[in-house]
Amino acid sequence: MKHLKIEQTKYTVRVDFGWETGILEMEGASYPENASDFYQPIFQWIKQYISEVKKKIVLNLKLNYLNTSSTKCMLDIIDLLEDYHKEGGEVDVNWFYAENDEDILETGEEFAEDTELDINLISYKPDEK
Amino acid sequence: MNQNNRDKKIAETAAIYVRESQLMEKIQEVQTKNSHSKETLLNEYILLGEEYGKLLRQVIKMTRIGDSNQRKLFSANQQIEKQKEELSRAYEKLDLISRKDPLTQLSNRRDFLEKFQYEIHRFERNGKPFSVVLGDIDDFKSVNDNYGHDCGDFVLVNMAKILKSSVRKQDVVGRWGGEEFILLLPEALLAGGKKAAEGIRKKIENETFFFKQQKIPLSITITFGVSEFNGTTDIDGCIKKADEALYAGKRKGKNCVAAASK
Repeated sequence: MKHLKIEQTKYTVRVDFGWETGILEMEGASYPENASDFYQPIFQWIKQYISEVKKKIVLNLKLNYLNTSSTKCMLDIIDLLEDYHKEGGEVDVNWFYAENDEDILETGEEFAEDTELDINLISYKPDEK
Repeated sequence: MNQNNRDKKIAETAAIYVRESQLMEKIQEVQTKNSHSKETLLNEYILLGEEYGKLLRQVIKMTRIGDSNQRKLFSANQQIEKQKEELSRAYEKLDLISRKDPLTQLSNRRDFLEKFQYEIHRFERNGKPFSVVLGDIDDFKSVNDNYGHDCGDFVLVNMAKILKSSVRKQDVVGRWGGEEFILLLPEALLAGGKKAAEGIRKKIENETFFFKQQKIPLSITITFGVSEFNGTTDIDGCIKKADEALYAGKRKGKNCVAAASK
């Protein structure tokens, strides 16, 4: 399996998953025309990584908008990682939010609630990359 | 949205629930077959309960996140509306500024010519001619040379005030350039325009321009050239005629009103 890279668009997030590093990054806004089409390769990649590499996964999420379909897909990703964690896999999730964006902080809190994964909520200044 | 697009959208949304749909099919299959043992049914029930719990948790989270994102959109929309209003106000201000001569606050050339064009449209509808009066302050150069540019500006500002206060509400007063002023007098024929210009000329002649930094009062006069727009020429032609009349007045000895031929 190779590095998974998807360029950011107005409607979809940037995806950068490192097969060697186990660092999975997603950034931007997500309201794709067809969420299933967009997220399917991402699920497949993670499933394959979990079954073949079995190393630590660090998921860095820097999102500023999610529509409902994307939220469902993102919750499924979290569930997938939670199952991996329950089976002994090491998983870190970092949820980055702009320091003045309370809605995205709340979204991060929703993701963090009621899951066995440690989801770290990390603020950043909006002009920081 | 037409039916095809609607069906497509429904199928797209259903695609993200494929795992839940498969589970549902499996459960229905178990329910329809009576051959399963009690133990198998219990296991299926437990599995279904777990999946249902998982889905319910997801739905609750999705609802909250959806609400949170709606607030975000609403707040962004309000921000956009506010910015649109600010932009609109700034545009109005800019438009106003771009039509005013900054020193005298009279219409500048652009604004005057737009109003001239508007008056031509009115003429085309009602056939009523109107007058254009071009004025030039006599010996203005000597004011600047002898008393400085501040004094020159003072004269221009006060001249603008006199012109503005001497015309009717519907008349347009503009600064044409330097020490030149221009008036648009709707529905005033050449004779009417000439009479109005003569009244203003006398007013200026009798006015004392007392620039505070100078001890002596200044006597300022102006020469006017008047032309009539009656459809025989265009904007440029009409202003040119007023300009030629103005310079005929200057040659005649200044401080007078000269009318162009119709």
